[in-house]
Amino acid sequence: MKQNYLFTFLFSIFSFLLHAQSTLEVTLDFNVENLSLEDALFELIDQSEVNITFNNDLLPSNKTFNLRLQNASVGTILKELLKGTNLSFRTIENQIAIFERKNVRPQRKFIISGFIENAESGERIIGAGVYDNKTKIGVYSNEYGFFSLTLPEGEVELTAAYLGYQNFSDTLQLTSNTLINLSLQPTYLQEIVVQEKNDTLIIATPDLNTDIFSIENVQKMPSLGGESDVIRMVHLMPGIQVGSDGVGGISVRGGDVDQNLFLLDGVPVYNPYHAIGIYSIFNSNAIRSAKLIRGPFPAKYGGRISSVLDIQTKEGNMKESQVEMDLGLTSLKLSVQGPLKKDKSSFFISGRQALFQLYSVPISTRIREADGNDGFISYSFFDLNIKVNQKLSEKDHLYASYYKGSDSFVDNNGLEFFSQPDTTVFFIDDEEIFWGNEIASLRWNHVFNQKLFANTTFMLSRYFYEAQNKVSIQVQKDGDPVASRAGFIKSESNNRDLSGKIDFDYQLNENHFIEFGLNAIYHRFQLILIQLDERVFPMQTTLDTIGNSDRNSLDSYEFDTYVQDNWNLGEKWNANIGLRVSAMGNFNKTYYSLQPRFQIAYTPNPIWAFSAAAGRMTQHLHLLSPSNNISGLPKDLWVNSTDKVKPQQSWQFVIGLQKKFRGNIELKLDGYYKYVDNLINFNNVSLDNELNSKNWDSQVFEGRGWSYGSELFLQKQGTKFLAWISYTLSWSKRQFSEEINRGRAYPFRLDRRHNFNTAFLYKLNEKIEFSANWLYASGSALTYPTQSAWYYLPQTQDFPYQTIFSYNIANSKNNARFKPYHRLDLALNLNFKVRKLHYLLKLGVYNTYVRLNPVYADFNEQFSPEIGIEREEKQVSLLPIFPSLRLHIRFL
Amino acid sequence: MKLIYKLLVVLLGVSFWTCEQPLDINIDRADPQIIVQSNFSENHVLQVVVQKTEEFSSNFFTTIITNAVVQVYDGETFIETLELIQVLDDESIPPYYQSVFFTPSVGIAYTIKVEVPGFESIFATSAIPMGANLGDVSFNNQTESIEGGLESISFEVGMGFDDPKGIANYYHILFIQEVTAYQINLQGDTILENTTIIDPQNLQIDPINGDITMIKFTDNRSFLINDEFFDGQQISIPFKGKFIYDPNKFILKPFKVEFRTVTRDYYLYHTSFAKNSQSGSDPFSGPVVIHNNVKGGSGLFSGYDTTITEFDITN
Repeated sequence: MKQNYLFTFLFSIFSFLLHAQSTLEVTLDFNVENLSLEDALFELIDQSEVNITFNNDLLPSNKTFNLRLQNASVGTILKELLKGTNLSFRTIENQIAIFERKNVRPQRKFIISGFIENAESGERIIGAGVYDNKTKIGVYSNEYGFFSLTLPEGEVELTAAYLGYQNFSDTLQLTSNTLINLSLQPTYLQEIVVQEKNDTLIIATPDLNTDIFSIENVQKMPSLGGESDVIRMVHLMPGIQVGSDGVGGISVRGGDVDQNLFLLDGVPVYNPYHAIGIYSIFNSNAIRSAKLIRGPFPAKYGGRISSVLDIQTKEGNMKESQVEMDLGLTSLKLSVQGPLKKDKSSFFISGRQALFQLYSVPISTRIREADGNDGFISYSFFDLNIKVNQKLSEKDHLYASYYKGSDSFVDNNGLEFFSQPDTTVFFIDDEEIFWGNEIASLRWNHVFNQKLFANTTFMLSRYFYEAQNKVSIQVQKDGDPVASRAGFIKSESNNRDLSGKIDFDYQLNENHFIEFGLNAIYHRFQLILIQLDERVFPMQTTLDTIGNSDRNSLDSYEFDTYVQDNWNLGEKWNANIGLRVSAMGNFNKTYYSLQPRFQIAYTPNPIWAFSAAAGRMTQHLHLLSPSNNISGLPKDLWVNSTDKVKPQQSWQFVIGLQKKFRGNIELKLDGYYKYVDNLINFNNVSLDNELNSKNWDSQVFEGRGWSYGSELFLQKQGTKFLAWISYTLSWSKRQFSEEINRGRAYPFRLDRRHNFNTAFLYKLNEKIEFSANWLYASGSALTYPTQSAWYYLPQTQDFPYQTIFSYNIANSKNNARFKPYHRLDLALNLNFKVRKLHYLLKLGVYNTYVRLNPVYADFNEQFSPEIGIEREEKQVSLLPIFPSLRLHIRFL
Repeated sequence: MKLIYKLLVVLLGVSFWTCEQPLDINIDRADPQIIVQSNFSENHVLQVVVQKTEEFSSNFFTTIITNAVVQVYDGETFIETLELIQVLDDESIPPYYQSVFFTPSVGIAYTIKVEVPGFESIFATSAIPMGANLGDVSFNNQTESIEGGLESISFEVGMGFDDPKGIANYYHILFIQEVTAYQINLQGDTILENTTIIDPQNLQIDPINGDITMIKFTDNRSFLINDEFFDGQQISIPFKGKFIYDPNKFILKPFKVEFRTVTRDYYLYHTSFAKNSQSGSDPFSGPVVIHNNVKGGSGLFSGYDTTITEFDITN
C-alpha cells in the first residue's frame, strides 16, 4: 500500500509537469499582419487550440503586429507578442494566463520543523521524507526523526512519506515558524524489500552509495536457519564481497574486513559477528532501521575507511504493550515493549538465545564415548538489547540503550590415559572461552529552535575475550582418588571505548542544510593477559600476568570534528560538501588528518540522475589478524596507531548514473577506485605468544592496497513482487614490504572478479509470500603450496646442515582460487491470525541444491616406506544445506 | 587457531553433514626448481646444499642434487670449484658441496654459480657483514634433581651489544647445549660416544621481557632480531631458560651463546620459515612465501659474522 501512495504522489507531480510543458510547447506556423495584440492573441487561440485567458484592459491598444514564425511553440509566440510590454504569462492547469508584472517585495520565508513518528507506536522514524508539493523542496528526517524545512510564506502542501507507511498530506498556511509533529500510519505486508533513498522520495539526493533496508521486509527474505539477518541482506548488495557463507567478515569495494564501521545506536561495535561471521549480532527483532553506506561517506561519519552500517534499534511502543516470540531450530527470541508512561516514555527489551548446544553436546558426547573418552563440546551465543526512552518535553528527549552479546565455547575433555588393574590415571582438559560485545549509550535530543537540533551522546563499547584452560591429572586406586594435580592457564583481552559526542543539524535556509559536530573517544586496548600456574606447566614461561597489566594496556584518544553542507544548487544540482578533522594520540605521538568529502548530483529530469563523489577517510585503528585478513574470530585484537604504525588512509572516487524505466524498473550503474595506504599485515605468529602492548607494532608490516570496479543494480517493483539483480566487476590488490610475498603485489583474499546476486519476493496474497535469492561469486583467493623441499638449519661451529623438516612452497601469496561460490536459498512465509495472535510461519532452505562451497583448503601428510609421502588434499565446506522452520508470534 | 577448527567442527555437526571433499582449486603448478642453501662465516669453509623441489602432489621426497657443479667467485674472479661431501653415517646431514681451500673474509662479496643438468645456471651473491660489538655475556645456572634421576638446569643469560647506527642490522642469537653420550664399561672406564645438540623439546628459552621483538627460530632455541626499532643503541637482552637431561647417560658440554650479525637476506629467509612453521594451524593462512636471494632458482646464499661465548654448567 505504501508504494501505491508513493507512486500516486509521484505520478501526479510528473503529470502536472508534463501537461504544463505540452500546453506551451504546442507548435504551429504563426503569421499575422497589422493586428492588434488582442486580435493576435485570438488568432493564436484559434490556431493552437490552446486556452489563453487575459484581461483586455491590460493590453496596449496602440500597438500592431507583423509576425511570421515557422514551427514555433506557443511559448515562443507569446514571448514575441508580449515583448516590450509589462505583461507576462504562466500556465495554470491546462490554461495560459496573461497577467501584468508587478514589483513585489521579496517573499518571506519560514521554517517548518518537528518530528516524524509512527502513529501506532510513537517511535521516531529515521530517513522519512518531508516535501512541499508547491515548491518541490524537501528534506529527510535525521537519526532521531527530526526535520527542518525552510519554505516561502503562503500555502504549503506538506507531504511526508516513508517506506512501510501511508503518506501524510496536509495543506497549511505558513505565516510564521511552525513546529509540527507528523504521524505516519504504518501499513503491513509491504511489497518493497529494499529501497534506496532516491526511490523513496521525490527529491534528488547525490547519494548513490547508500542502501536503506526495510527491516520488516528483510525478515521475509530467505535466511540461514530462518534467522533473519540484516548483514545477509548486505551480502546481496553490489560492491560487497564475503567469505564462504559469511565466514571472516565483509569486504566493501575491495577494502579490508576491519575497515567497516558497524554502528549500533551510534556506538561502534568491534566484532559484529557470532560463529566466525555466519551470524551477525544484530537481532532482527530489535532493529528499527539499517543503512549501508558503501563510501565515500559523508563527513559526519569517521573512524573507518570503507563503509558504514548504521543500525538503530527499536525505541519501544509509547502507546501500548507488545510481545513477540520467535522460535526456530537455531534460536529462541523474545521481545517485549510498551509504554512506561503513555506517550511519554517507553521500553524495549529483546533477547536471543542460540540453540546450537542442544545439538553439539549430545553429538560430541557420543563421538567421544565412541573413542573411549568423556566430555563434550558446547557452543552457543546470546544477545540482549534493552532500550528506554523518555520524552522530557516537546524539545527534549532522552534515550538509554544497552546491548550485551556473547559467544561461549566449552570443550570438556576427559581422557583415561593409563590404566592398570588397580590404578587408573585420568587426564582432564577443560577449555572454556567466552567472547562478545557490551555496549551502552545515553543520548539526549534537544531542539533549540526550528533551525537547530542537537544530539548529545555518551557511549561505552567493550569487546572482551576470556579463555580458561584447566588441566588436571587424577590418580585413582580401586576407584578412589588418591592423588591429583591441577592448574590452569587464563588469558583475556579487552577493548574498551569511552566516548562522547555532540551532533548538530542546522537548516540555514532552503538551500543549505548544515550538519556539524564534535566527537571524543578514549580507547583502552588490553591485548593479552595471561595467568599461569607453573606447577603444572614446569616448562612454560610467560611474559605477562594479570598482575602486570600495565604493559598490556594500549591507551589512546581521538578527537574529531566535522561540518557538512547539503547544498541545493538549483532544481537540478545538489551537492554535499564536508570536511572532517581528526586527531589521534597515544601519549607519544599525535596524528592529525584532514578528510574532505564531496558529492555532487545532477538530475536533468526525473528519468536520469548523474553523480560523482570523492572522499578521504582516516582510520586510526587496526585489526591484528594472523590469518589472511579474517575478522569475527574470537580473539579479534584491535590496536591503535603508534609512532611506528601510522593510521590507515584511503581515497575513494565514485561516478555513477541512475535511470528509471517504464514499469517501475530502475537501473544504477557506477564505477569506483579506492586507494588505501598504511595497511598492516601482522606477522604470522600466533596471537597467543609473546605479544604485548610494547612490542606488537614491531611485528607488523606496512603496505598499501588498491581496488577498482564497476557495480550495477537493476530493480523491478510490481504491486505483488520485487526483484533485483546486483552485479560487481572488481579487482583488489595488496602490496607490502619485502617480508610479505617478497614485496610483490598480490590479489586480496576476497578479490572476486565477478559477483552476481539476484533476489525475488512475491506476495501471492495477504497470507502467503514466497522469496528466493541466488548468489554467484568468482572463487576467493588462497595460498596453496605447489612444490615441496627440505629446510636445513644453518650450520653451527661443530655441526653442518641438519634437516629440520620438509616444507611446502607457495610461489606467491594468494596464488590459487577456489571454484566459484554459488547457492540458492528459498523461503515461504505463511501469515495467519488466530484470536489475538498474529503468526508468521517461515519455511526455508539455505543452499537448496547442496552446493559444497569451500571455506578453506587443507591437507594431511603421511609417510610410508612403500609409497613415500601421501597427501590427502581436501577442501572443507560449512553449510551444504540447511532447512529451517521458524514460528514468529506477535501478540496483538 | 585450534578454536577455529573446533568451532567449525561444531557448526559442521549442527548441519548434520560431512563436508570434506577432494580439493578442487585453480592453481598454476610451477615447474620444479633448484634450491640452494648456504650460510658462510669468516675462516670457515664454504658449504652449499643443492636440491630440486618436488611437485606438491608427488609421493617422492625432494631430491638432493649430487651432480651439480658449484663454483665460487670473488667478483668475476674464479676461486674454486666445491667438492661433494656425503656423510654416510648420519641421515640427517644431507650431501653438500664444500670448498677445499677457500675460506671467506669479511666485507668481500662472493658469488656462487651452480650448474645442474637440465636447469639454467644459478647465481647468488653475498658478503659477510661487519659484526656488531658484543659486550659482556653473563651466565648463571641452578641445578635441581627431579623425578626419574633427571636433572633440571635453570639458567639466565645476559648479553649486550652495540648496534651500529645508520645502517640496518640483523642478528641471530643462538643458545647451544651439546651433550656427549657415555657408557661405563665393566672395568669402570667411561666410554664417550656421539656428541649431539640437546633435543629442542627438552630446552626452553625465552627473553625475560618483551621489549625487543624477536622471532623465535625454527630450532626453538635461537632468535632473530632486526634493529629497526633500536638503531644505534646499546642493547641489553636478558634471557631465561631451562633444560632437562639425564646425567646417567650424558655429559654436559659447555653452554654456548652464539651471537651472529647476519645479512638482511639471512634474516628474511629464516624468519619466513619461522612464520611458515607457526602458520600451519591456521586454516585460512596457507604457507608463507619464502624469501629468496638466488637468481635462476631459489634459496639463500648469505654470509654472517659470529662470536661464540662458552660457559661451564656449574652444579
